[in-house]
Amino acid sequence: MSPLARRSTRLVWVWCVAYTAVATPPARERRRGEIRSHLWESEHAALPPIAVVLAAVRGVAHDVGWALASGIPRLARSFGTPTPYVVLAPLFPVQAWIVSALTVGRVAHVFEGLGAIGGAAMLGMAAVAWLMQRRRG
Amino acid sequence: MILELGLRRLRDGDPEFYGFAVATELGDDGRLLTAHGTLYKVLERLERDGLLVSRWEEAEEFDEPRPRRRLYRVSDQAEGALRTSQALQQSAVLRPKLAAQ
Repeated sequence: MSPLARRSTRLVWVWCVAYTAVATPPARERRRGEIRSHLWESEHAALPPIAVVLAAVRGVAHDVGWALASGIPRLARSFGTPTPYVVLAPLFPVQAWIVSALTVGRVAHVFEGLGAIGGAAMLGMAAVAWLMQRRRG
Repeated sequence: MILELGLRRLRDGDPEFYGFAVATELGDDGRLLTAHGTLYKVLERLERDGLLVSRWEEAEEFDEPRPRRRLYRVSDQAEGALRTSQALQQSAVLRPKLAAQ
């Protein structure tokens, strides 16, 4: 296999890994398995590297649509757990700190307030999600 | 196109097919379907609609060291669905006003 063919296959594979990352594990494993097999067959059929890349490029819109359809329900479900709130909570004070370091006056006050309230609110949401999760068992 | 291909393979006694084979057989006629994203999305949708069934190839089914294939075959409903779809297309051609309603 030529270096160009290897590079084009790797490029398509990297794209596949990227867009399937948001999908549910079974959907991700299935799509990756199919693309892995497809790329192997393409290599062994000695398809021109440009044809392999073009086949991937022409399907990008459907790849993104598939990833969103598969990933959004998963993302929505994750907001029923404390994890995303715990992750988001420190981002509020950090953004407030950055903005107040760069600006003065009213804008800085607004962002400092947002940092304090937003961070606390996220921790509150994390506690609520945790309690609800515990109640669900 | 995929259902026609699957039914043809069923008649030929080799009912199972996989994504790359579909892309190769359709070639330039199914230019859009040879795009990876489109092809696998369509295959998944046909399976969800009950027109295809699929499974992973078992390790003992092949000798050469290669990734296993996802094998598809048309379901029992596929032929009827294809006939209905072709009849609807035909009526749209013969009676475009009625089809538009």
